[in-house]
Amino acid sequence: MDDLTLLTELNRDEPLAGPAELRPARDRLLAAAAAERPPTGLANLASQPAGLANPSTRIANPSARIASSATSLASSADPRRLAAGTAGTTTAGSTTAATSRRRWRLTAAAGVTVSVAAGIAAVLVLGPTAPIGGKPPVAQADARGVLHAAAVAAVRQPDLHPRPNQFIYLRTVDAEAGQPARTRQVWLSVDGRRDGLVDDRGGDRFVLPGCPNGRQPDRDKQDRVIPEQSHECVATPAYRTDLPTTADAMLAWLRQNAGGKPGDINALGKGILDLAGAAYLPPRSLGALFEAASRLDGMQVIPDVADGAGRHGVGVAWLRDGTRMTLIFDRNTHAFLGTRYTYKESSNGPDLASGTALTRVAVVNRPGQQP
Amino acid sequence: MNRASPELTPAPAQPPAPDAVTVTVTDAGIIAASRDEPERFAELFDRHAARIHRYVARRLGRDAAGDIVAETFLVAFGKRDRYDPAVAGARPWLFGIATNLIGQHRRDEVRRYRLQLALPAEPVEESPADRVAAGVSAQAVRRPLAEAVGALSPGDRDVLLLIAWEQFSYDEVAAALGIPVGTVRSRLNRARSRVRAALGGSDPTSPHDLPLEEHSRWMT
Repeated sequence: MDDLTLLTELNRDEPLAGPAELRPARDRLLAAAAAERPPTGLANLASQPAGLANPSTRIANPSARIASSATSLASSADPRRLAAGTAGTTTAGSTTAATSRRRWRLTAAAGVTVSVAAGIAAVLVLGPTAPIGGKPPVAQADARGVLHAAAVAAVRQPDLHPRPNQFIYLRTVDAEAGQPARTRQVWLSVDGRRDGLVDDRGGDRFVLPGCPNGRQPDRDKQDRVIPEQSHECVATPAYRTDLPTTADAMLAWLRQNAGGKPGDINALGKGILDLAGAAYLPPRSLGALFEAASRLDGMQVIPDVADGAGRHGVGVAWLRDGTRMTLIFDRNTHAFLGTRYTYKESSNGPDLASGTALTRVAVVNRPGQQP
Repeated sequence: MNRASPELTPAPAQPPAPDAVTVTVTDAGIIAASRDEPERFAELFDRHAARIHRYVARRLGRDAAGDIVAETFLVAFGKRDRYDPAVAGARPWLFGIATNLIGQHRRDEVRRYRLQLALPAEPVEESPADRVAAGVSAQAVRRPLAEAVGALSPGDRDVLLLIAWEQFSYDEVAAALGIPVGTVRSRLNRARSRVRAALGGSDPTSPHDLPLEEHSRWMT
């Protein structure tokens, strides 16, 4: 089997759409056709077809589909926002004040008393450690505890308060079992209006086009901007001020945006992962995210597990069809470190694993700038 | 026509070569007719939309595919007066438009490949029997494959996937993407060499032929 043949298998299980699924698209075409009768002076429409005026080319990706609000972004840029560049960086997983397991229990029970987080913690409603009406399995109860702690740790982090014209810098390390780790750096526009950048393995770069003023310039095949040609777009801010800040609302949001069957732990877990590792959430939302996760059934604790960069921590995992996805948190600070995915290629084969690690989150002034 | 790869059987995505079936109007014929009768453009939709939908769904996910298919045909409809009537089949033209629209979702596409790396598959898993069959080796390399595809430059990816998934010829890719055939070749070469490298060597052939332990070593 050659590589092209193997490629034909990738996502091959995507079924062919039937008439019902295609109906909305067909109806839009017919509506456009009906609008053109009688057909006069059509030739000049070619450069700006009516279809592009429709804003529905958005992706239904859980993290991208929520309507973003430019106004909430503006209001988030308060005086506490950081001055330029490096001053505003933090390192995911680096130790701040060590928080012991015992301490977070106390903290969760007593309410967060640390001054910076006091106002925030009032918004984050911490749930009970065990669900009401029955004892969960020990591992599951522990998983809830870890996620509680992660929620508390999240809201105690300072908000980086990026300005709209800045960029969120994320550095991730991916490791496939037995292969050298690969580093990816991503610069995401805070307000989604500016061009971002991806750097794979130190050099393989491409631009993530931003969406200024609702229109995006067309680009040619070499990724160069074509003058005076543009199409409609919707900005996708990397600083997610549009997300819920309470566990209840976050849980509802996750459920609403999850794919798969209702309540599918895997689908919900993907939503959590996508938010935890692919954007910058204000501390309140990140806390709400982990707190929401603590309320899901089907999570187990993994006492010791390594992320994609080899950092050990405590894991919270869900299982699916013999595979296991683990969210990993620093054992002391409960900061989110990364993930580990364990699977088998055959029922009697060895366990294989791949990992990701979020090794740096920072705010910088321009794409390509190192924090 | 230059077939991209002789061992690939071109799947007739699409109706019938126009001259093979006498009653069938060519795509170009439909497009011409739609100048005076705009709603006839829907015939073009009925011929091509399902296949384009599937292609987009494979790249961006099903939720996005419906919108992009709709946009593709609206754009095509708007440009139909500029269609070259000498080109009987409109498939490359339509896929080219769809590819441009996909390009507006690059971040989502890359994220999708990344997610595939990290995550258990959606419930639409193949049955064990299917996996034992031809899917096994592909399943085994799905993760490095997805990663490699996600890491390609967008232009290289466009070429590679039109050829691998839609069995486009070099000429068709060139027409679809508006690039010279030579560029198609160089992009394809680059893309394939990267994919091969990601698969762990210059020859990723037949991992499923290897013994199991060998197989897993190969995997890593």
